[in-house]
Amino acid sequence: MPSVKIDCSQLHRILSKPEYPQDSVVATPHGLVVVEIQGVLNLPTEATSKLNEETADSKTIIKDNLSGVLPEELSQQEKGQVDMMAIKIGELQLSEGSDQVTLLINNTQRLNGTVERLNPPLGLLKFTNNADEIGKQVHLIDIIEKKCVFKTRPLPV
Amino acid sequence: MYSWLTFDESFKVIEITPELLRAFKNKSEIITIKSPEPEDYPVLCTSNNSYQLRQNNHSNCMLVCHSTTQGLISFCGLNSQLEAKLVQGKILTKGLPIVHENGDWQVAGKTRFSVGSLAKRSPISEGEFWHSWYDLKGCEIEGQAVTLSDSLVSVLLHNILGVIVRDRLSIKSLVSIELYNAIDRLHFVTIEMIETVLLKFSQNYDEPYALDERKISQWYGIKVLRNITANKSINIEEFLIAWKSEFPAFYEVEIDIEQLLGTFVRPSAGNIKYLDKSKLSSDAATRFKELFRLQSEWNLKEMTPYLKDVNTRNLKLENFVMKFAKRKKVGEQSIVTSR
Repeated sequence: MPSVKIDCSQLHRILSKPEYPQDSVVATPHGLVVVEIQGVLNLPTEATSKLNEETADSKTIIKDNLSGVLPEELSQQEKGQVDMMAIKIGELQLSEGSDQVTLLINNTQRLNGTVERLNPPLGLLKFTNNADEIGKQVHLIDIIEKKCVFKTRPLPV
Repeated sequence: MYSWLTFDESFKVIEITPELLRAFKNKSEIITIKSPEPEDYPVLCTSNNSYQLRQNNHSNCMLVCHSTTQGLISFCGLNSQLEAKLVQGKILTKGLPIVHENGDWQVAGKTRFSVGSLAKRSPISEGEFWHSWYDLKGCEIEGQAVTLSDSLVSVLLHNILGVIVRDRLSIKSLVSIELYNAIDRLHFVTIEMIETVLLKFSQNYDEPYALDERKISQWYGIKVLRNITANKSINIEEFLIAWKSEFPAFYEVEIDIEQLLGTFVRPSAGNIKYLDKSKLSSDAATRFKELFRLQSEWNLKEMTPYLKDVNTRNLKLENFVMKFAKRKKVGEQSIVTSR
């Protein structure tokens, strides 16, 4: 019967840091933010040439490699992702002193939402993509206690 | 805010209960996810607890983003989360050899495995494993995990109690090696078997063992009930006499029919009959029908042990009963009848 160990060392490192932020507005101590929208996010499946053309001007497309998110001790094979393409979907605006958040999409649509506390909190798990059964692990990346929720339909800007 | 064009699907989120959070934060805790049979849910095990993991799907899209100098970048979009439900872990006893009264036992397959490897394979936490293992009459012989048959346990227990009476030993302070040397045992009996019997009936899990007299009288009661009332009912007074006479000579222990709740039915006034709970249906509605077929009117207290495992949603017992039967108060007692 297969069994995998959950490695919590990253969580222990975060908690032991003296600058551990206790009450961030929405981000976790590790800098993660959860945004929940109704329905499905429709994204292009690949970076088309048209999108690539815009890259230089407005940075519609950038590259990302999850730097700093995954535990350093993971091998590149276990991390599994190398320079993934990311597309701009909008701008998340937090209102100072309130739990209201706004997501502007392409400066044409606006989503109004709120910051909610998760009860129970959620643990983010990374299942390592290791073909070798020995040493296969699950890593607890972070604990998420808040999320930005958008429950309403988009409004015009 | 940016989003990956293709999400990383190796991430999942899990709901974290306060107990799980404590376990995750504890540096010395070893936490594993075990996948038992393919048709079963995976189980997350901490040192002392087991949690069944169920995937709850939802129609929303939960984007997990990380902060960069260029802004937030979402790298996974989740439409499900794992729910960790506290359950009682179980030991995979299927295929384990059973040691019979004459000492015979056989390994069914080619592979042998020790108690240690059984603990690793089974979807149960280590703390729960040892409690359940001795409760299941588990033992290790020649590096192989085995269970002792009921009849072998009865013989060994009877001999142990005989020695306790003969040598005037304290039932609250027993050492396995002393008993192993003192009892008139058969050639195949090992000290591990004696230890298994002591641990099964003990209140504690470290030597010296303190035996629980209620567990002992219950074991004898169920044995007598099964032997003499499996096919016919018997008058309660007659049964109590048979039960009392089953113990070793001069071994004094209190007996009470309430110790056997969950193992008998009352087919007629003043009579009882053995009922094997494991042979009842696992469906709640069918379970109620079967119980009312055997006994038309139940005292709620006597019915409760037959309902615990079918009350899967952990409803308050009275509310659960009302879904399938009628309940009325007669004096202090709750009486349950069919609809």
